[in-house]
Amino acid sequence: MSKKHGKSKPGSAAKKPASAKSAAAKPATAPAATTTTTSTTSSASGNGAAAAGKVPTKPPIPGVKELPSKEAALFKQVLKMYEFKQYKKGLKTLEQILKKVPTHGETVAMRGLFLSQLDRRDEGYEQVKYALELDQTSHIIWHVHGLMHRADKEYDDAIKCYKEALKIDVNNLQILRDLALLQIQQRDLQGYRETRHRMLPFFRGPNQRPQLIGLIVANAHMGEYDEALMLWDKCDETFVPKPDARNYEYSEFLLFRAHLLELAGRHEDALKHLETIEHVVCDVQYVKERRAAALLALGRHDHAMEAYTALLQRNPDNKAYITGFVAATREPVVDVLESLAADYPKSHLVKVMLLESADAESDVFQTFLATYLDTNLDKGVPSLFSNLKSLYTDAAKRAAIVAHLSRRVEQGSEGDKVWTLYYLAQLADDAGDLAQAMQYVESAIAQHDDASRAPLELVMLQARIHKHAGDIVTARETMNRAREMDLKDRYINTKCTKYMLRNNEVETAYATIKLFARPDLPDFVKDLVDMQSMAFAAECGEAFVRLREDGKALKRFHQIVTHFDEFVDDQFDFHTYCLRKMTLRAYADMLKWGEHVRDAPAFRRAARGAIRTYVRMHLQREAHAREVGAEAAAASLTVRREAVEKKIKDHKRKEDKKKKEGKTVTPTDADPDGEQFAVVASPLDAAAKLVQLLETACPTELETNVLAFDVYVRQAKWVLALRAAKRAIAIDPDHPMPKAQLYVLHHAVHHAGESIPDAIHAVLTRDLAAVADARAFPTSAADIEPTDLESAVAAAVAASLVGGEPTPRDVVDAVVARDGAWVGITYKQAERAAAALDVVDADAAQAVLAKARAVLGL
Amino acid sequence: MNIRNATIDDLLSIQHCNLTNLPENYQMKYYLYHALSWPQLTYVAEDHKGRIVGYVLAKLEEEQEKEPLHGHITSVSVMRKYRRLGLAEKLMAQSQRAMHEVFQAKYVSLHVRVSNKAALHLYKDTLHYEIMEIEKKYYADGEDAYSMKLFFDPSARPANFKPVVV
Repeated sequence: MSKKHGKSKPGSAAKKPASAKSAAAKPATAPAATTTTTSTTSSASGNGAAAAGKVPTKPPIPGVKELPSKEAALFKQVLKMYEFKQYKKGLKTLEQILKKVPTHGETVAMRGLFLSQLDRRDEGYEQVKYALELDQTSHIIWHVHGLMHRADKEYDDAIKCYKEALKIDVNNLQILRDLALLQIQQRDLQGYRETRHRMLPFFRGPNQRPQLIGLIVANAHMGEYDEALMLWDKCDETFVPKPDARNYEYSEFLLFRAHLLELAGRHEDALKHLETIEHVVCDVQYVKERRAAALLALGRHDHAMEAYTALLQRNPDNKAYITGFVAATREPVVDVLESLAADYPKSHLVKVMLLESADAESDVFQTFLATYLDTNLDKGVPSLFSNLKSLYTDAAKRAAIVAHLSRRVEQGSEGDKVWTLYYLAQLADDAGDLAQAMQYVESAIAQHDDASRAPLELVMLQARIHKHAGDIVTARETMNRAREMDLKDRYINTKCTKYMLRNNEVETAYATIKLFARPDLPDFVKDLVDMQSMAFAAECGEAFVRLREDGKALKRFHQIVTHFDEFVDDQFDFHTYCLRKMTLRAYADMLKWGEHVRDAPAFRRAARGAIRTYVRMHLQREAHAREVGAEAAAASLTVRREAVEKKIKDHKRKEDKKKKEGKTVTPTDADPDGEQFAVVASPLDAAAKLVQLLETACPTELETNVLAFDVYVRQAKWVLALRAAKRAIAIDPDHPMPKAQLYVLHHAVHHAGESIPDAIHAVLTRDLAAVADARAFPTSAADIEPTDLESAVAAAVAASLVGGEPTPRDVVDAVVARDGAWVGITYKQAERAAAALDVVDADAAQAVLAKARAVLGL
Repeated sequence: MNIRNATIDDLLSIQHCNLTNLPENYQMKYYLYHALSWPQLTYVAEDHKGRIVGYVLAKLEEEQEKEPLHGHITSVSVMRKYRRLGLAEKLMAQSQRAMHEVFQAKYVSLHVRVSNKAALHLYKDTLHYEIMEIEKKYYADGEDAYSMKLFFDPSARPANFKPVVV
């Protein structure tokens, strides 16, 4: 709603944590002083210089260690210039020094740092390496090297450099500070604690606080609560005199102790602490919440009930409060919820929870349901279907709702029929009765004399029903009609672009989403990327997959993967910021979040899409090589790749040239169509990188291990493939896919044995025998004959991996011919199967969709 | 729907909800900045499966000269399928109380597009905000904004103040 500068604002926010009141802003000895400001520059193009710590292998060139006094003064100025980001000016000054003293290592290193800040990264690293040959006893050179790695987001390398610097200058506070920051970012908790302990003696009294607080949070994160609490006491002693009541920072500090005690399971102590600080802290609600929870945990039910009552009066739509209250009463749930419903008539949640808990046959359920539906439908609330979604898994409750709504339609007045019919239509759609759903929605529209004045919800629902029927063309047309009914609503615009993309109309989708782009920005695609718009990117990527525009598809998938890198990086400034702002509970949450942020549906979707695309590219290239010969195929790929690389280089060179000429350049995308992805040297290696991210982020997802197996087998990484198969079968022993994977390994051991190294062959043989002892798996193609869609996908993927007969297409044809395999199938299931089959055989995927349509009568 | 204080884990869903519903969007870092500066002020509405269907993202204006300490609603929206359940009102009410209770904010401010009748109705009639002024071309597309305030502390309300009537 507010903020016209959606984009500039985050920028200023980005600065906030880093600047104001941060100790790091205080100039210190060397380049050290300005680390926090360097974090924003980046050019992370990856390939990085040699790993830190290994650089000076050549015999040292004797360099000059001390500068003459005039040059020494200039050098000092350069450090200032770095702080104020005057890179061009600094570079000139450095070159002036080097004219006089060409072998002064620190000056050479600084030149490297300035060059890399000016986007001349490779030259920069060359310089620093040279500096290390000239002088291996300077902490400044190592620090500079670390700063460059840090700016390039090579944090582990930066840590190594800082450690080298600290070997030379043991007590350099600035470097310790930089090291601590990187260690917490990389979650080297042990190292972080050591560094903070080394920093402690530099400070006295209140100035020790950030060190101590860093230690408290780190220990809490590691689960070492006693140590954290001990340090908390020590830190509390630095508050002299104690801040006034309701000082926000001190209040947050006090509350963190309650948090620690609760984590440590010391409910009694937590309670005591909460009651002592109750009247001096700001976050009153948190005290009330934790106090209520502690009372309940300690079995003081009467007090807990009172505490939860106070919370419910503040917010009767909070699930934790309601369940807490119910538990505290120790009375039957339905009775308690019934009385709460009377006490808090405005709470929707209490009523919904009552309907969830009450038996469908009970009077309570029947009465409350009727009242709830009537009240809200009379008021014209359109969202009841969404609001009562938790009830539909209970068939009796669903039937009761349908019955009541049908009665209303029969008896009700003309005016309130629309939303009742709408609700009935949604229920029918949800149950898969699409014809009935369409009938209801049409009669809802017919309630309006002028159909064009019917609420757009109805039209949206029509579109949705068409989509469920697999008719994406009509669905998209209908959704566009809904969009045209309210051009100012972005929600309907978003929906419509999604439907357009499902229909592979990428250009139209872009033109449509552009209607909500900021008119003051030149490039709306860039703006979408800047705003980290991931749902749109994923839909685009999937549309490009269907259109077989692999480069463009991978471009969008990788965009999303990069957003997650950004999220991880976003934490940086807050490691310093939160220790001063004292928002420690939130900060502790962030530390946890940062470790599992990639375990998000958006990331999984993008990574999976990209991996499948890479595997398909790999198979296509293999087929192409069979057709034209391996050499010719490789040569034509090389030609294409070199052309793309040249194009990207030229683009960069042009921009660099302008930069060197001192013009301001808004960098544009050198590869907007993702051609570099389409010509990548090894699609499987690219896929494997994403597989590793998935294996770290969501190892317990079946799909992660299915894809991991697929990639590893094709790379002949047998041990990793075996690990994926074992994980998969542990996750879902009954799923046909893990069984098919084991068959693939079995086949490899027995038929492709000579291509597997002996040691690995032995491991595979031994482990497969062990798995076979626990559960049987197929050992021949005939054993995995598909009986349903899921097992057909597994068998087809296995056939693709094993090669020869049967082919994936043979497998799919067999299941298509078997009518029994299609009983009760939904179109969505067919689509999911098709997506997996599409990788190994596009025609087979289409055959599955065609069969599903025929079976479903679509 | 469950109305609760947002945590860091909700921010991705809030960002998704914002991008779906509104033209004013923000990078993740800005969401983190809100949640790590004023964790008490941002609220979410979630469905029975824990999916975020609405949010209010709010902050404190600490460094505005001449203005007393006050809260600001950065963004609020509810997915269309969950409209008319009173979620926006409930979310706003929780956030506003926290501004006052935790930070002793004197008032809360927000901006709304002059064409957004539904939102204006919520702020003006349901939540009792007053229109302070019309900010010309506040939005990137050139639309004007109503700048609105709700005073928690009547004494902070300027004595000679006359709200804009629309």
